[in-house]
Amino acid sequence: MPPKSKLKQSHNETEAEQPLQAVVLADSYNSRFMPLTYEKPRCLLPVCNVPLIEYTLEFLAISGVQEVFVIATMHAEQIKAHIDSSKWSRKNDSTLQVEVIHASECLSVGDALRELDARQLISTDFILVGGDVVSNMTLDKALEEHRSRKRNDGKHTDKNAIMTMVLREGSSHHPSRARGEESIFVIDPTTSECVHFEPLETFPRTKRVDLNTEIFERHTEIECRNDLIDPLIDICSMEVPALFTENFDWQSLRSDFVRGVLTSDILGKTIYTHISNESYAARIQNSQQYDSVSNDILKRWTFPIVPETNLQETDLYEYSRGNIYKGSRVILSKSCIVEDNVQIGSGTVVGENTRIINSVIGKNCKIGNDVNIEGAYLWDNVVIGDGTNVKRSIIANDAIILDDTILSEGCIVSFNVTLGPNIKLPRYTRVGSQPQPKDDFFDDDENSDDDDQDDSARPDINLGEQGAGYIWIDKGDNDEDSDPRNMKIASLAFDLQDLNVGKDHGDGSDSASEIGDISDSDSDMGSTSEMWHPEQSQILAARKVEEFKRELEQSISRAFAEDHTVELAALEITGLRMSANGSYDDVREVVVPAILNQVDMSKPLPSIKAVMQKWASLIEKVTHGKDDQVHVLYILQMYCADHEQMQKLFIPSIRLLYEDDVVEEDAIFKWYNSDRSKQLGSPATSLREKATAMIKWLEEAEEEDSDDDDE
Amino acid sequence: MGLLEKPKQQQKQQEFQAIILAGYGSSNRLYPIIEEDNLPKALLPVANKPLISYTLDWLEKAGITDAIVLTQTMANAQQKIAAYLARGYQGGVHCNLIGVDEDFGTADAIRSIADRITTDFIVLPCDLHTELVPRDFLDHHRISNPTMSALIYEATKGEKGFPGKEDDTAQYIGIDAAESRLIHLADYDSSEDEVSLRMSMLWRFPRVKLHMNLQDAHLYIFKHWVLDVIKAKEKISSIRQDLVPLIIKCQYQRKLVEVEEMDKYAKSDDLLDTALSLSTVYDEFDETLLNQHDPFKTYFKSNIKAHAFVYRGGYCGRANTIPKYNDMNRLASKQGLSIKRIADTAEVTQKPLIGNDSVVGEYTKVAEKSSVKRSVIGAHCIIGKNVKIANSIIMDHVVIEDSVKLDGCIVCNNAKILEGSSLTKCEIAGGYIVERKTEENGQKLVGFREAI
Repeated sequence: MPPKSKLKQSHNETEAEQPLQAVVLADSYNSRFMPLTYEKPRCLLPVCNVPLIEYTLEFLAISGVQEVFVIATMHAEQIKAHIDSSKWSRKNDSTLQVEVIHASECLSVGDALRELDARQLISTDFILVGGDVVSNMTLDKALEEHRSRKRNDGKHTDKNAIMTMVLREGSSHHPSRARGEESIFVIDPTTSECVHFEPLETFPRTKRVDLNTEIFERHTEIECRNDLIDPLIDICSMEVPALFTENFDWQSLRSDFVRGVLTSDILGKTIYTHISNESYAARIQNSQQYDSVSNDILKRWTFPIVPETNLQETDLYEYSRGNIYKGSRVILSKSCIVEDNVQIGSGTVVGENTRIINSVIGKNCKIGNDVNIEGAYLWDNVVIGDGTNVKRSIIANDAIILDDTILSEGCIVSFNVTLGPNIKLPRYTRVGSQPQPKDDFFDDDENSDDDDQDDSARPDINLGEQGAGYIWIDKGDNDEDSDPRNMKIASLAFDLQDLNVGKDHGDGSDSASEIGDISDSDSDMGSTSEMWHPEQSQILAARKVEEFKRELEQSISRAFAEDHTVELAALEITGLRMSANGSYDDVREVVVPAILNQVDMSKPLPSIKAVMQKWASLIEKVTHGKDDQVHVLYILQMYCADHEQMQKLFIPSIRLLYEDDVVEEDAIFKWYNSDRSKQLGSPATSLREKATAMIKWLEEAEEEDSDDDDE
Repeated sequence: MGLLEKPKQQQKQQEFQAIILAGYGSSNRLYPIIEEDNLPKALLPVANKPLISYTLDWLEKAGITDAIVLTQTMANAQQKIAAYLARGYQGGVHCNLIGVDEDFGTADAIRSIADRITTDFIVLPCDLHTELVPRDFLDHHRISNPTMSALIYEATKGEKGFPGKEDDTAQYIGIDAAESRLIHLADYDSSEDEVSLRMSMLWRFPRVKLHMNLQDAHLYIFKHWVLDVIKAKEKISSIRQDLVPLIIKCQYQRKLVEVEEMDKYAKSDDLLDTALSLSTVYDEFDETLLNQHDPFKTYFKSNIKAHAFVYRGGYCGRANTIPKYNDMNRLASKQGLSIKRIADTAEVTQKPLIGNDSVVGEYTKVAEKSSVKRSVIGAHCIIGKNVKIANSIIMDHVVIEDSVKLDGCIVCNNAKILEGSSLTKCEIAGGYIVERKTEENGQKLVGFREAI
């Protein structure tokens, strides 16, 4: 059909006239690399001794991009200075025109794109990437696919397509996937349309993915993929920034934008994917990925983007067997051992008997004798003293590690910090040269870390006699809903066994849902959901509680037998409670029945009066506030209901507790009116009925606003 | 070849035993044509051959000569099937007809005859008709040697009941392409607006294709030890609803395998597995080892495997709804098949009016000026003058008087359609008499039993 091909041609021509544009989001909008990013923007952090943004720009240049806008918020001046002095700014040899845009008030990807929309810089489809992408991919195919959807002649024409996400095939446990932030893409395998996007969370853990059945109205076959690496390379239409402006609450590109577009009935836009299984693409969002991507570069997965291609003109790396890369003027002592996967920058000196493996060493570093460096990233001008041991840590420019210092796994040492001599830095320690700001830019939530164990650890870490630096702690993302542990698991060299999953997960919130989850919708075969530690730790926790209660019982019965004072008994209970980390609820569940048991059943009424006279104040000591008082009433109700002879003690004990101000009338009303008190079985509910008279009396007493009771 | 005959001494140990479920499922989807006054489902005619004969032929092609036919002792179904197997069936499969209680589920029924099964076994419905060469499926099973293999088929275009929202037999079928595992099987439920997938499944099988254009043929091959599971677990009542989902889930749910103690039953008879486990040099790459410390990603290697064999390109279908039964007839009698179009004993006045996409049974009389298109007419029918029959199934002993028009109808045994009626898309129950000049569309014509 001639008219169509003509149309295509003219379309191609207009396409060719337009320079290909790309937008680089330089900011991370989070604090993952703190304290490093306090002084240097993430996109300038060196990865294998090359600033991260160089990889991104190189990747864009390979893909034929001609115009790049770098949107920067934090440290924009540094980024600008870097670009100005880089090879990209030399007009003659660069095919790439880079412009840095200082967007001073952006707090999220959404803000940056709204800024982009406001400035009207984009004139055609563009490539949107983070400033943290390392890739050897060419985007020709993806671009072609994206464009063909807009044409009339394509097989899968879809005028509503606004974005193509470029993804890489990996595996579900691939290290290039951001741990704790994986996502599932549901794709129509014939058209590559993305029909559902599900971000996965570790805390709280995503257990199920729910697909809307409407999807099946348009797609008879879909593929759920949990094996994709999302390097955040998107080919976007011009509508994308505009959509962000329309939906001013969208912050993130994936969980807000992609989800928003896919679930919206009104927008009617579609998003596609391009899955590559040949080339490398990954982004460095957190220190875990910093580690894995650096490793991939050393191991040449990113070829041709490897150290000896010298992305920076001043570099002169040489490649030798065992993936060892040496810059010029490197001085290695005779006895030092450089094992596999090591890169050493020019001008670095390595001392005697020093061993280096799986590491990147920057320029002009001085490494002493008998040093062990394993899986570490030393940037430029770092000084390492004799006998030091560095494992899987990052040490930034100009830091000095004095003799006999040990850096355990996962430490991050910022610029100009001095450590040592002769100290041991515990795992996951972060040291900055400046004190951590109370309320830093991305963290306005002061108490985001109250359950963070590092908090208490902060003052305790010794930086050594000559140490100069400040301990920083993870503050979590500025996202209030997010669990700080999500961030922790994605940090450098984090060993998942260190995570105290049991303690928090055993507390019922998660496990309860897990139990409720047992029966599946498609069958009631008693299928149980997947399990990991919480189950066990839950049992352990339950056992602990039981043990604690038993001890408590013993101590109380001792108190009765030896007629201790209430103060002494309370002290003992407190001691036990603290040592077993027990809760007041558990304490009450033991104390209240134990006290009732002291009543001499042959003459119940006088006896309970006597018992309560002394011991009511013990109940008072473990009861704080109205909710606890209601709890006491439940315990009374349950216990008396379970023991027949106790039933007549119920009303008198409430009255006595009321008289002693252990329970207040509000609590009694609340208990009486609660659904739970009505649903505890027949003897318990009849006990509640018996209390009706007392409730009436209390109500009247309140209405008359009378003074105290004189019953 | 009879029921009462003692089973012959088997020459060699059979590889598979077959269990045919005759008279299960479908519930009222085939009403009224499988009512007592007509035929049990197994005997419904497809191109004038009973449904079950197709299943038996398939088994014979698969080299399986020993089958147990399970039927519910409901009404006279058992007698009718017994009569057919004893006298009508000509093939070489030795059938053993066993009646089971009416409210037994399919798994309950198998439990009741468990001691008769000594090998791995195939469970299949009596209403399955497929062009699939049995060997393809069996070889797939033999090579992968899973706990269970299921036949999944692509609904062919010709089938009217193309899966979609309007079809209540549609299913969501999840298959892991890399290992051809069957990992999700759920019936489509129009009242639910979400399909829920477990993350444990997506961690174990990160690439799941979820199909709505595929159908479960209800043809399964099970390892013999699955019988022990059926025997031990009374709560497994239905194969499709309980047993198959259990096996599917045991592929990725560690907890379930533990709770159900599946490992106790799962005996591996795979020579290669045994050999490899004894090997000192063989080192299987195992992703579990890489992530065994990772408590967040359950990666669980189960001994239990459910495989799916997806059959595309040829006909495969079940007659479990009226439209599908219709389709099956049309396909079984379609143009080009080398079947006997008009029985020798039939008396057809104007043969050219019988389309070569139709079949006319024994002793049937068709008077002049009557045309038959894309239809199947049974035996002993009497069809008057000027009758037009299209897209219909006429069973045996049906009387159709002059000038009747039938389109898309199913007429059951002994029914009578009186002069001048015009019926479209109707099902006429056994023995029902359609009055003169009746005009109906899309009705089920069923008489009260007293009236007949």
